[in-house]
Amino acid sequence: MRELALRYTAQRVDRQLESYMQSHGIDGPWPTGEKILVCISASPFSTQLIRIAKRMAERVHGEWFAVHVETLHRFPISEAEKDSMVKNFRLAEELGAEIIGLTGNNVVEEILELARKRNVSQIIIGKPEQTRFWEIIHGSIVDKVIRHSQGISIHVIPGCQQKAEFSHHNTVSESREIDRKTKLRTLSLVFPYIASSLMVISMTLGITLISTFLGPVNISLLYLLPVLLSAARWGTSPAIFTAVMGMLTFDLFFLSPIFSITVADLRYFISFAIFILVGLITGTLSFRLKKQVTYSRQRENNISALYALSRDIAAVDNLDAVLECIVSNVSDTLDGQVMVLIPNEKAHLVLRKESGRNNFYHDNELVVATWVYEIGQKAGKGTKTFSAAAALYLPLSTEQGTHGVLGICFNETVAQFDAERIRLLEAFTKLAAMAINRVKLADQARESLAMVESERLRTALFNSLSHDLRTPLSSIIGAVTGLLEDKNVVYSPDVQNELLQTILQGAERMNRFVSNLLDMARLESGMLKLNKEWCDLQDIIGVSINRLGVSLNRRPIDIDIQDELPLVQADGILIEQVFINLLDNAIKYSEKGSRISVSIKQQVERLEIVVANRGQSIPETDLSKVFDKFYRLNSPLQVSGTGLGLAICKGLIEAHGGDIWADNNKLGGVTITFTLPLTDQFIGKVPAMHEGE
Amino acid sequence: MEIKGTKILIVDDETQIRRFLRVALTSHGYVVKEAKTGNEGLDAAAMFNPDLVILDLGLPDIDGLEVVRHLREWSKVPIIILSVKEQEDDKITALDNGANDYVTKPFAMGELLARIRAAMRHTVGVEEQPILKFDDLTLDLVHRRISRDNCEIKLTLTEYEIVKYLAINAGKVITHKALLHIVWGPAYEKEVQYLRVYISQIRRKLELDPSRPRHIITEPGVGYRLL
Repeated sequence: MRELALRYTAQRVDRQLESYMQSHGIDGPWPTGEKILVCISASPFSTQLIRIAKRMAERVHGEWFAVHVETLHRFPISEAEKDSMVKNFRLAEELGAEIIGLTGNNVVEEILELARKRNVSQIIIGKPEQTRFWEIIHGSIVDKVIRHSQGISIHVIPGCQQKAEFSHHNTVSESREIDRKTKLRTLSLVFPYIASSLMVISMTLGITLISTFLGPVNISLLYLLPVLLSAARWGTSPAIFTAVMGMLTFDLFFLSPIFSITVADLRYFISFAIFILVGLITGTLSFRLKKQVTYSRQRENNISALYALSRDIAAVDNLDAVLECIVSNVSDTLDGQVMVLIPNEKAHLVLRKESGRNNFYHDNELVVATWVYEIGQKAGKGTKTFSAAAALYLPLSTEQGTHGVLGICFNETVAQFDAERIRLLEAFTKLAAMAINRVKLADQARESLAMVESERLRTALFNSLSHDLRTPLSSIIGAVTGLLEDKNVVYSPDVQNELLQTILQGAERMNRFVSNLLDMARLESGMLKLNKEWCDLQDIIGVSINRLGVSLNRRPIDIDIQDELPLVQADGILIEQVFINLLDNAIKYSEKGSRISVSIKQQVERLEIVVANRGQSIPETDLSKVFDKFYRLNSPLQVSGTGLGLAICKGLIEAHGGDIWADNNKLGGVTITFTLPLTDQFIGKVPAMHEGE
Repeated sequence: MEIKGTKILIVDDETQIRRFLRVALTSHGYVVKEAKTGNEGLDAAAMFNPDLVILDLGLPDIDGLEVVRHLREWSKVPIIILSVKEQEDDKITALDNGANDYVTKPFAMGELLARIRAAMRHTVGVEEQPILKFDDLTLDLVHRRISRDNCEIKLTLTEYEIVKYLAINAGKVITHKALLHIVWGPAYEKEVQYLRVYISQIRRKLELDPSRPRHIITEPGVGYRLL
């Protein structure tokens, strides 16, 4: 009756809860922020743990992690263990776990630290397969985890052996491969025992020769020697083997009765036990030492690889070189094929650098890489996202955002679960991201500097255009409309002439300005072609002076040209342009009627041409600026001009391979000097006209 | 030489250029015909039979150079090229293909009129005059003698030949190639440096101030002209 009443109550409570949930619109289990961590090892039993964890995670709608801690004591794990480790990881991944590989001395600490960091609420751990005795010596991991877990519930799952799962699906070729490997392994396993036996045998022979001098105590101590050696060299088991063998040999050959084992020999049991103990301790110690050495060597390699990369990428400052460094360093150190994808101008990822012989990259991989780039989390092979991808992809991110993606396809499949390697890869990625960021920032700085410069030029050009084109245009339009419209007003011929002169001057000024702009544009666009021919500079000066015509009126010009001036290879028209600009400037920036001098002299392998005036000097600091575009001197003479003349001269002279510079001269004016290289002089004699004339 | 009635054909696609040329040339007594394109120009040259053609190099339909070549196939009418600074190479090619002279835009009217006069003079056949005068210079073709203000100037054979060729084409630009061809022969058409050396020697003898020559004028990149 009581039972019936209880069942009834339970049913009723259930119904009430259901109706409560319905009335509050809750369908399904209550959502919780549960996080489950499952500790796995290479043991096949771990698959069971993984499935249990999966079920629990499903029930509570929580995230779950599969963790494996590699300890120094357990290095190096066997091939079979590695394989099953990979299998376990893969299973966990397929079931939706996040895979975490850790390396550390203390399994318990590592697990708990991770659990706290990830805010894990439940830990699933397998019941150890070790014997009670082992646990007493080494301490139980489960016990320690339970003792130190504060606020985390621990589930301990009892294990049951599932050895059958091993090598079920192995194909013939795989088993052959394994056969070969096993043989090799057996050989390397057997070798220490053979070597130890040899040691013991040769020792026995040696001792036989001099046994008379040594007492049995000394002889038995001598047998400790191979035990120590073998323990230091090959570890515990060969050491124990040597100890047993040594003891037997000692007993047989050196204890009377010789060649037999008697009960009396039992007193040597103590030495025998000590032999084994020494073998055990030394073996364990040396083994551990070896592991430590291997581990620290690996660490050192990693650090020096990181150092090498950071040193290499610090030395270069363009993106391609940086990427080259990253790709080659990472692929060499981590033994895999590496590629770096960087977004192009349209923010689409493109393959920028790869370590040769890449054959895993195709469109599907790009999808994975793009995902990584957009989300900023690693994905691909060995992770839970896109695990079918051929490679592992890591974002190259800094605080400024993600700069690209690094893809790596390890040459060995196990490598992707090697925590140490993944950690090193992540360090590489951080470093690479920082380097790329640095290059980008440097580029941006350069660009913004160029922007400022081009902005300055644009402003100068606009000012110049609006002023230098509008001013002559206004005078032309003004004068023309005056002449056209005022038909009733009869201008005197003088006034008419003056208006027409105004128009002419305005038009000429605009013509000069437009020519200058065109010349400048041609120089800057690289469209300028030098039409070099043999030029007589004296001739060109004559032409320039002629061309300046009216503006040069009544200006005394001293021309001083060295006799026997050699011809020079140059573009005559452009050099004429230089002369015209220089003379024009010399006239504009000096008082009316003051002298201008031009001189040409031959220096070693060049001609030096000097144009000087006597007017105002230029402040020393501005001497080099006069060749800048749109630079205008502040002159009391109210000079009109474009600020392009000297810039064009500089461009033209430099195109000829010459130099141009400005100085203040002793006469209070400015001297502009330019040179033209006399690369190959014309020395050949000119023949007289052809025969028959 | 009689200007009145001299027929000039203007081939240019710019209305404003054509208009001001027409106004200016008509006022100077020339009879003017206009053409807007190269093809139109070639037709007009056949129909109108001009005494001189003013031809723009940049035409919308066919290249000005082509017009020169076509015209030269059947006509010896003097051609004056209108060019802009950017067409330096085309200008020289046009001159080598038979154009008589060129003016660079923008140009002064006086300059164009002088070129027209110079070009017209040659069609009348100046070569037949035995004595040519250029201000203070006198060139006696019969006695192969040059004098300035009645003082004879000694020239070498080659120098004389250059001066003679420039003088019988006085006012007209002679390209380097043409001058080299005439004096040294076809194999030397590219040896501009010969001219540089000779012209500077000649200037030292003929010109009062060789740095500011008044008679032998250099047309940079093109050739020489004797005034």
